[in-house]
This record gives sequence, C-alpha cells and structure tokens, in this order.
Amino acid sequence: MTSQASCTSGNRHTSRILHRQWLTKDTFTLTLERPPDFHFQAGQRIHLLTGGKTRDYSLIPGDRQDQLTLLIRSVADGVVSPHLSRCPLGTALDFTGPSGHFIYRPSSRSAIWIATGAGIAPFVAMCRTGIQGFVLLHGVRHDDELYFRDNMAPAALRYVPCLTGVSSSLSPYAFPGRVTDYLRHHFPEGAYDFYAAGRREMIAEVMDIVDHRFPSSRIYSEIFF
Amino acid sequence: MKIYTGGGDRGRTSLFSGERLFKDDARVEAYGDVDELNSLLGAVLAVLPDDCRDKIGELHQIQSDLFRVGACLATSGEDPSFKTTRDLPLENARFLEQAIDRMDEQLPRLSQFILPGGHPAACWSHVARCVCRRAERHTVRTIRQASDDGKMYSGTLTYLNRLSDYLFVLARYCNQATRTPDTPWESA
Repeated sequence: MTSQASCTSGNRHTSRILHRQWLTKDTFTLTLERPPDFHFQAGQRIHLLTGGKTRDYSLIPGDRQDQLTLLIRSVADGVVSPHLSRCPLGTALDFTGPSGHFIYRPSSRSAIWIATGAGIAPFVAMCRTGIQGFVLLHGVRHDDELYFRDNMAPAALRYVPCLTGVSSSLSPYAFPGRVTDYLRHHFPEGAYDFYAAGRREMIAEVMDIVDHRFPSSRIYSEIFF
Repeated sequence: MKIYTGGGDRGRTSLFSGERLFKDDARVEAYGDVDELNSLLGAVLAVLPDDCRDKIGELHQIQSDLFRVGACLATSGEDPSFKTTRDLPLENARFLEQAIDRMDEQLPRLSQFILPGGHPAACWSHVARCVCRRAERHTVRTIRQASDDGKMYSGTLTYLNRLSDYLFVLARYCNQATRTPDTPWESA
C-alpha cells in the first residue's frame, strides 16, 4: 500500500540456533529457540540482525512450540545467508518483529497461493495453522526444490508444481513452465483471493495477469529476494 | 523484503484489503491526500518557530493518527482485515478540539476573513489545511461510491473535519507567536 509497508515493529529478541537442515545444495532450514514472549501470525516475518547487516525472513512455526524455523536460500555472493549457513549451532542471533501483513484472510473466494522458491515459507506457516483447501502453485527449477511438498500437498485442494528446469519437464505430475504461464493459460477464470510470495518480477506479472484475467479478485503479496 | 513490486507500473494499485484499483479511484485519491497532508505537517514542523515548540508533540500525534487514517482508507469495509485497521475513535477528534481551544484562548477574536499567509509555518499550515479539506472531500466521495452509509468512516470524517480547523488555528497561533500580523481580506 505505501512505501513504508515493510517497516519493522516489535521488540528486540535474542535467540540461539538449535538446528540446521540442508534441503538442497543452497537452501536450508534454520531452527531457532522461540523466546517465550514472542508471538506471531502465520505469514509474518522477523528482521534478523547479524554482523551489522539485517535481513527479513518469513517465520515457520517449529515442530515444537518453543521453536521457530526459517527457510533460507544461501546467496553465493551474499553476506548474511552464507554466515547463517556456516555459523556453529548455538550461535546467538538478534531479531526484531514480527512484522508484515501477509496473513491469511478468510473469505468466500477460493484462496490461490503462488510461490516461487523460498517464497513457500509463509504458506507453510499458514498451512501449519490448519488452513486447507487452497490451490498452491509452487514454481521452482527442479523438483528437489519443492520444499515442504509432503506437508503442503495433502492440505491443498490442488497442488501444482511448476518446474522451469529443462530436465524437470519430464516430471509427469508437474507443469513444465513458470507459475505465471500456468496462471495465464491454464487457470480457470473467476474471482479468487490470490496470495503471491516470491521474486518481484513474478509478483508484478501475477498482478498484471490478475488485472486482466481475474478482475474481481483480490491479491496480497510479499517480495522475496 | 523489497518494498517495490512493480505491480503498479500500469496504473493500478492494491488495497490493503487486496482489491486492485486504478490509481485515479476516489479511494486512492483519498489516502493519497492523507499521505500528502502528513508530509505537509512535516514541513510545518521543519519551520515551526521556537515559541511554538509546544506544538511538536501534538503534530507528531496527528502524523501518527494520519497513518492510521491512511490504513483505514486503504482497506475496504467488507474485508475482515478491517478489524485491525479500524476507524479512528472519536477521542482522537476530541484531542484536536482541546488543542484548538487551548490555542484559541490565546488568540484575538477574529472579526473578518484573513488571507492565508504570514510566517512560513503558518503558510505551510494553511496549505495543509487545504489538502486536509481535499482529503475529506475524497473520503466522502469514496463512501458515496461504495454505497456505504458512512458509519465505517465516521471517526475519520470527524477527524479530518476537525483537523482542518486545527490547522487554521495553528496558522494564526504561529503568526501571533512570531508577531506576524494576519492580513485581513479587503472586499472590493
């Protein structure tokens, strides 16, 4: 809505890294202690402060109540994500938050969740709160990047992996192309609640498609690097 | 998270409640006016004379209120998220009324129209007053176009109406504090 929509709020917390799990060669989950006074809504994020740098990460409730999970793609020439990928377990991290308005809003319209890459994180958080019956389009290059597929697919009314990698086009259950291609050419017209999380270019394209193919719909978005 | 999406590059924007609207929609005009008004209060603050420093806290409170007004206007009433972007309570308008009364007690009674002008803080306050009136008009238009009975924005409408009065009195207050005479309107 405004240029200040991404502002951070909330108290400052300190947490320790409990666990790291690599999902692919460049993407991992980081499990943190959950401070006892820290509460958030599924889809919100924290503002992580480390080494003089700050980054926002969407929150996923941990398997246990006293844990938080972050889904992180390590950027080769980045600063924060490589540090988070290497620092020892037990490292203390400071963060503020939660912040953000990318939360699920129940309505009579069908919810269409669109994610690319690690943009799946806020949807995983929503799904873990018990939301079901959504349509999920998850765009990645190869099917090993379909993070949390085993959690998401059973809860979804329809789960559509959209694979852009050349070799992935052979996967029989997946759409061979981008999420926006699927939305533009294969999704039935109607009025929906679209939720889009991922790269800026994808979100801008989804908004353009919604404007023209789904004019009575609503759209909520969250940009990921 | 980056703050720009590019989703508005073709003339539309998204409301807080998810709808896509053209940027010349009355609702977008209304919260755009509120944004402009808030920025103008920043200009008032930047040139506020030393003798009016007691107004800093009030103006910051008003700027904060206007953020809430903007969020309220950027949310359609039927959306459940409206619960978290509620209309301003009437207490906020009462705050303005009390501030107006405190300033007014120190000002000479006005017996004729005055020309907008004087000290820079007064000038910016008058400009802000005009933008406040425009914000009010666009808010009314939004309500009428949405076939809303106005209850959803009753606090906002009261607040904007009272805020333009506050800004008029603030302009006079700044002029008096700096011994800048108001210029009466001379009818032809």
